[in-house]
Amino acid sequence: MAETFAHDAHCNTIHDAGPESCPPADRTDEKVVLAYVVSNDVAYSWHRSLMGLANFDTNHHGRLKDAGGFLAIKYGTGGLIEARNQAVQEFLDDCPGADWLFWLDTDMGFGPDTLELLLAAADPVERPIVGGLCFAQRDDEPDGMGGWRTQATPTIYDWITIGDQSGYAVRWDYPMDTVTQCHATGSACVLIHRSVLEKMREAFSSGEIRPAWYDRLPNPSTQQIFSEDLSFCARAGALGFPVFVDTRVKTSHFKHVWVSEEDYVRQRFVQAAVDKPAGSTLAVHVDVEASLETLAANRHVKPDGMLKLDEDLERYRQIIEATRPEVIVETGTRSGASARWFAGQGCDVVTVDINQPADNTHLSRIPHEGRVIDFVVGDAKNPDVAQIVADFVRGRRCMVSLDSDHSGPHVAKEIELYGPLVSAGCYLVVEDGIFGYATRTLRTQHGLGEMVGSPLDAIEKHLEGNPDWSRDVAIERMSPVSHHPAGFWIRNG
Amino acid sequence: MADLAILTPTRGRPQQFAELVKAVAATRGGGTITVWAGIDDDDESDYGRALAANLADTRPGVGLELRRGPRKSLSAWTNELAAEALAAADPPRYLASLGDDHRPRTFGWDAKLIHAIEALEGPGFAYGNDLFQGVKMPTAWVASAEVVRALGWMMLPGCAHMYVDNAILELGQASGRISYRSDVVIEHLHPLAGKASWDDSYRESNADERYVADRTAFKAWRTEYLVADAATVAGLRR
Repeated sequence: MAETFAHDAHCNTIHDAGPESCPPADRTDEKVVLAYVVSNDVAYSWHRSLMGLANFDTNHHGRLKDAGGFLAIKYGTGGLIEARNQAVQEFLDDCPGADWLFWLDTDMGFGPDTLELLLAAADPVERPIVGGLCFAQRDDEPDGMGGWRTQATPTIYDWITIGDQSGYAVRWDYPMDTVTQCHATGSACVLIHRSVLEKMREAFSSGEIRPAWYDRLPNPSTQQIFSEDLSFCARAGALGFPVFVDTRVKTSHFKHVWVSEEDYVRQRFVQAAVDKPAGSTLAVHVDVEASLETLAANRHVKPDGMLKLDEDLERYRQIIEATRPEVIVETGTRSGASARWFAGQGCDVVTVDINQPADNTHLSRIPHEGRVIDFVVGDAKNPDVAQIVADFVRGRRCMVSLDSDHSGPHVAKEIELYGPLVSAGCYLVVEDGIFGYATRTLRTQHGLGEMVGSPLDAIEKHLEGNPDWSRDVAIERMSPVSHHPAGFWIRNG
Repeated sequence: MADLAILTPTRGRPQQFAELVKAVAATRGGGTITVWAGIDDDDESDYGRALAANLADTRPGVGLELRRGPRKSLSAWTNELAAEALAAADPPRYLASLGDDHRPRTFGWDAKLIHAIEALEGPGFAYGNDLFQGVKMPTAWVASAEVVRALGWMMLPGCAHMYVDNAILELGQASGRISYRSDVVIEHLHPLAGKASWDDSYRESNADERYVADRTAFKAWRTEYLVADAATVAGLRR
């Protein structure tokens, strides 16, 4: 058939689909072939990342084994386009048991769970093409010394028409940490369902002419030639296959750049902006500067592994004494030291962590000082995990302490899930709001460089102004320093 | 007459006052309560409309006495309302001072504070956690009727607004007749706690000159009358 393409009307509607709208199906049996085009050099980041990904896959679903596998296509005289076409051909002909083709270019860096994350966002019918968040390098302007200043450019493209010309435009302001539909993306890190490639073979080959998944196409309105990856997306769009990018799946792209004083100045400027703490509109009742100093000095790090300031422990002591909870729910077990401390205050403890505490690998329940500590292993923001916790609590006077992932959306979800467990007159403690005032540098020192927002965002969203909750400013004001500003809330009733 | 009379002078805040009454009704324990409001004549706020709009579905058991009169200070209004409540044929056994920006949050707060007073050696005071000052200050308190009768005041008369809670705390401590219940929450929705916006009433009562005048009066009372007043309270028996 003659090769023409046009984007389906439905593809022109960009919509974002959050994690909730992409329920993971039971996909444990789906197999994947990982393909890459390789010359005689690969980036160190790619080699390192691939080892991690392969190891992760072996320890989980083994998608790259058996029917799956690796397709390493040598970069020949036909260049990248020919190599990509060859890889697809081999995938379709030689790997009949594999469901997905997964491109991972050899100049990329990525996390070990990249494949699983993309697969969780993908769907054979609804989302058959899902890319990771990748960046290309675009030459921006000459640097006056024979080089170029370059710019990191997200490979998320929308089809736009201005006047009588149409083309792919970079979506600079892409939505962060979500699955977003677009019209095209690159092929550096993308998962493609077999059905797309088969349909494309059917539609775009005839007679003896070999199928052309990646042959470059001209833009009909400008006659400029699209790159091979955009040409692939154009063909997919013409056949009605939607394209998505999961901006939660981060990657890096190894590139050579010219660096100069101007770049240095720009980077410093940007670094200062990025490093600036988000802060909060919540009223402040502790000395934020002094509290940040205790954080920088690691005054909260205890010999037994507990990470709490003495002043905050005293706050806990007072509220426990005042409200006498029978059970304390804690998210974020870590070493288990704070769970033991809570038990030492005369309360049973249910503590949740995504990792099993190191010193309790074989136990789910331990007695401690006449009380019982129940360990629940799982993601605290998972409703099923929260239900297990609720079953432990049932009917007892309960206080909750949130001290796991301090990202704003995570804490917000925890407040939704665990807030209802708090008994009237008891406390919900949202820990570590101080990180909302910390620079990125300080957060990074505490392993929270990638934290999104802060607990203060969740407090503003769910607790401030909520008639079911009252903020205990008195307990905040008990001493000038605290790591939990705006963190002590009483359930009204 | 009710078991407890809540005395609440209010100015320019009909909505807040109605919400206070609503919160009192929602959280009261077994006893009966009358809320006494003192409203300045020159306050044109429509308290009737606010109360009607807010109290349609409230639990019964809370009486309401609205008094209007010449403009006066917080302490002057409080003492006038206390005198009227105690002069009734069937006077309350306890009186409480709550601002229109206080909100009882703990169910049965009234009974718990009365119980705390009854656990003292004799008539006295009790206060809860206002979630701002906590144990440090009784911004809202309950007093035995005998104490108010014996002193002749509910709120230190020399002070207009500020330091009245300091006076109750010092008097209670000096007489050994004050109890703090950290588990009883009567939230103070004050601008300094970040829980309300500054309005004219707050600005007036928190003005620097008001602080100076009231601090002077408080210190004078503490120097000249605290010991005697404490002895009066300590001498009371049930």
